[in-house]
Amino acid sequence: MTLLLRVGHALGPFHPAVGAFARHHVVRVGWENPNLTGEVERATWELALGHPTEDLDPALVDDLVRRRLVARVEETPEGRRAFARAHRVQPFGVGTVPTDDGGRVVGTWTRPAAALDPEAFDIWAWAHLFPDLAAAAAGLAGASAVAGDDPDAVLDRLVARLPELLAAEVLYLDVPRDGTPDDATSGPHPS
Amino acid sequence: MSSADDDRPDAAELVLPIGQCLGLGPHDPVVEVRLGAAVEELGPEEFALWSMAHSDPAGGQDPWGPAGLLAAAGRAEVEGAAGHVDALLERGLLARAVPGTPSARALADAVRLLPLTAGRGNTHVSPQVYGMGRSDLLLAVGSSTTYDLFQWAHMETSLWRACEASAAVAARVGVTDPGLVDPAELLTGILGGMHALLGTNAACLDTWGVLP
Repeated sequence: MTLLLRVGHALGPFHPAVGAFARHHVVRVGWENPNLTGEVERATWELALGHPTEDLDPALVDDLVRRRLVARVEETPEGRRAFARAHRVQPFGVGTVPTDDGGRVVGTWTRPAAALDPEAFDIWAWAHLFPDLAAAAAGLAGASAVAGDDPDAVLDRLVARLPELLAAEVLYLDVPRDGTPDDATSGPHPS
Repeated sequence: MSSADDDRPDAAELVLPIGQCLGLGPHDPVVEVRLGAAVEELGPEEFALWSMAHSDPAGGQDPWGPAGLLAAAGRAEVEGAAGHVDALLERGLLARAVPGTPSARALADAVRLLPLTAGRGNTHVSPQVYGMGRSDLLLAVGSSTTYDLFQWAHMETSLWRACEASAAVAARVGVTDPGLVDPAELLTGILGGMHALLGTNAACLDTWGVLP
């Protein structure tokens, strides 16, 4: 089996002028804006949150994978490791009140987004400090509420929790930030 | 960054919170704030001041600085506010900066701007206005310049480097407005709108804190 996971910081539609239709939906992935054109692309990206369903056009999914907007994760230790070396997470929201199980509600103080159990909270709070998910799994192994004593076991849990955490909009996937930006595409350019 | 009781009359001085709130700890009445890779614990009064530093709780439009923060703390009857502000400055959880002066550059060298929400883009009605928030909640709006920094600044190792990069890109595409092509001017502009991003939790200021 494989998982499909959307990648990138969603930055909404770009309307070039008053009265103009949206040219595309902006998404930042690393130093690039691969963007999503049309509602079918946007919806396919939004729905890339786990095992693929029959609703998704395989050719479009392939294209999104090629453009690094969707990660295809083979559910094997090797597949998860390859995914983890090529991706990192970034958090959304702030932590607020504790949950009964020792986790934390995140979102804003007045508008919670999700109640995270201790494992999910540690992923949300700490995984983003590592340059990629492989490093995060190694760093969190034995030092967090994420189940598992070795990096592979922790990575198994990380990958298993990602669909719900992405869907709850408490984090997003990105690619590692190392490397210098390509000169032609770097920096602010929302259009 | 000087102490809170340093009597500097500059009205444009800002006070800014540093760090991402992790929330109330499970046992003690302390709030955890992540500062880089470290966790700082704030007592109730400290957290009240750190929270109020995010933006004027009364919603005023004037630059939000130490004097306003202490006045707000007085109205909220926060005990020992001046001392707590000094302690938070010392711990790096608050910063003072006057836009356009070396203190602003020092701050920008020390922090990065981390977005804490998705972008909502613009609309065909107001294409110059960009929204920030999750799909069910608009948190903040800003200009295209603010939105560019919201999108890109955290990719750089500091807010200053982000201003340099943004200015370089603007210059490369032929922009001549000093407010967009001069990093220092760009920083002055972004600092003027910073509390709108911080007070809504659309973004936070963070230290680098990336683990090896």
